[in-house]
Amino acid sequence: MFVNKPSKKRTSGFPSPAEDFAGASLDLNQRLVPRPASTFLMRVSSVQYKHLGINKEDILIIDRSLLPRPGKTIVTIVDGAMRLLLLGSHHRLNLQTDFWGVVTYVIRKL
Amino acid sequence: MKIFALLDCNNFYASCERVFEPRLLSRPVVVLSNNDGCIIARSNEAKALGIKMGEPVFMCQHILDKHQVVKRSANFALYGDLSDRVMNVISEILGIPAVEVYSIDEAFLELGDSRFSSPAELNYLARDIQFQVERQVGIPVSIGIARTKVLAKVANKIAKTNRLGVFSLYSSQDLIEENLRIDSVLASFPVGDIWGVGYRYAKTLTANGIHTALDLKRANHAWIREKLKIHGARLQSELANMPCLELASPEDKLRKSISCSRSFGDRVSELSTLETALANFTASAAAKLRSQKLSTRELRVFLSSMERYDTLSTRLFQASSSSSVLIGLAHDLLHKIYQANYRYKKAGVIFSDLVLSDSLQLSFLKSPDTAALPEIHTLKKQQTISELVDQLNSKIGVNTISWAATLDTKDQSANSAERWRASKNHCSPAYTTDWRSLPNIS
Repeated sequence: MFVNKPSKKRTSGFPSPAEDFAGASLDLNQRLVPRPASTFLMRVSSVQYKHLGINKEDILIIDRSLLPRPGKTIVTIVDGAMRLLLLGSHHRLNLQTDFWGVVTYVIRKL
Repeated sequence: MKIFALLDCNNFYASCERVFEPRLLSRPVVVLSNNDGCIIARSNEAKALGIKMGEPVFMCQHILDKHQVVKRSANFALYGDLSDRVMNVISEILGIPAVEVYSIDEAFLELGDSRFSSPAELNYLARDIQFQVERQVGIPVSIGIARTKVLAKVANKIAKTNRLGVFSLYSSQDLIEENLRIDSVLASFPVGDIWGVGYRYAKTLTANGIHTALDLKRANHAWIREKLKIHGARLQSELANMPCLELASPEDKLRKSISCSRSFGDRVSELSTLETALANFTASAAAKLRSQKLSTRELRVFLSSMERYDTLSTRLFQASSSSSVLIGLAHDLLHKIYQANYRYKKAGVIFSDLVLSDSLQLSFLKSPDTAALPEIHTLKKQQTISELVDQLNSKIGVNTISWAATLDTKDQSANSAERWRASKNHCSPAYTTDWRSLPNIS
C-alpha cells in the first residue's frame, strides 16, 4: 500500500528546481490508514453485497476505532460469522457482541 | 510520586484466535506449542474445564474431545501483529515514553503521578485504556495499578479475578491508610506468585516460613539480603510501597540472542540431513535478525543425542545477518562436531552478541583467515540478497524463495523445507500479515 517515490536522481549539472519540494509525493497509507493500530483488511468472498456497492474479491479497509453510525457500512457478527451491513437507524446493535468494525474504503482491481 | 500500572492481555493467544473467528467467543479454546505438543494458552472456558497450563495434549485429550475444545496451533505471525497493535494503542493514549513493552502480552505503564491525579482519576484512565484496546484491537486486558512495579504486578493478578479487570493498590493520598490496605492484600498473596520470585527462591522462602507476600515484606532484611542478595532487598522495598524500579528503556531491552532449534521426530544420523535441518534453522533465525535490523557477531551450533551434547561456536570477523554467510558458517561448525555413529535427537543454531545493523562498520582489515573473508562488496551484496528474499517472502508469501541448502536434495518436492518446521495441524491463517490470508466476509 505504498506509492513509491521514484528514486531521486542527483543531477550532476544544474540543480533541479524541484529539489526544495522533495518529500511531497503521496502516501496512500496516510490517506487510507490514518490509524494503523486499529485498521484491518478483509476480503469479500460473496456476491450478496452488490447493493452496498461491494463486489466479490473486493478488499475492505476496516477501522475498529470508529463507532457505528447510521449510514455507515459495518462488519457485523451474525451467528459467529462476519457479514456486512448498511447500518440504518432502526438497527439494534450490541457493541460488544454484534459489532466488529466500520468499513472505510473498498479496494477493487478494475 | 509516580503511579505504575501493569497491563496484561487476558489469555492472549486464545484471545487472538477469537478476533477473526467470533464463533469461538463462547467456546473453550486452547493454543498448542510447537509441534502441537503442549497447551500454552487457554480461554477462561478451557481453564474452567481443568485443563492445565503446559500440560501435554495427550494427557488431557479426553477432556478436549469430550467438551469439543477448539485447538489452535500457535500462530506467532498473528500474535506478534496484534501485540504490536495493543502496544501502539496504549502508546497513543499515554505517550511512547510511558510504556515499557515487557513481553508479547504485557506492558508496564507510567499511568500518572499521585501529585496530579487522584486514585479515582487513574482508575478511570485505566478503564479507558482497557476499553480502547478491546474496542480497537479486539483483545481483552486486565490492569493492575500501584506505586511500584512489583505491587502493580500483584494488583494485576487480582484484577484478573475481579469482574472489572482493573484493580488498584494506589487507593489514597494518605500513605499509612494505603499501606494498611496493601497489607491486607499481601497477606493472602502466595510468595511464589510475586514477580521476580522464581521457583528456587520460593522454595527457600517457604522452607523458612515465608509463605505470603506480607511475610516477605516483614522478613528480616539482613537475612533476605543474605539469601536473595540485592534482588531480595529490592523486592522488600517495592512490596513496602517504596519504588526502586523504573520503566526500562528500549535500549535496555535489545535482545541478547536469537536462536532456532528443533527436536527431530525421528532420530537423525546422516550428515546431509543435519545440514539441511541446520540450514533451515539458520535461515529462519537470520530472517528474525533482519526483521529486527540486527546482525550477529557470534554463531553457535549444537547437536544432542541420547549420549552426548556437542556444541561449538565461532566469532564472525564481520557482523552479519546474511543467510548465505551464516548458513556457510553453521555448516563449517556442524562438520567439526558431527560424529557419524550417533543418532541425534535435536539440533539448533544460536546467534549471540547482536548489534544493530545500522551501526555496523564494515571492516577494512584483512582477517587472518583471508581465504574465508569475502570481499567487502560481496558482503554488501549478500546482505542485499537476504533483504530481497525477505521482501519477496513477505510480499508474495512465506517460502516463495528459499536458500538452496534448506532444501532436501533427495526430496525434490517444493515443500521439502517444510519438514524442518514445526508441525502445525490446527493453525489459523496469518490474517494480518499475509495478503493471501485476509479474513473472509461471506
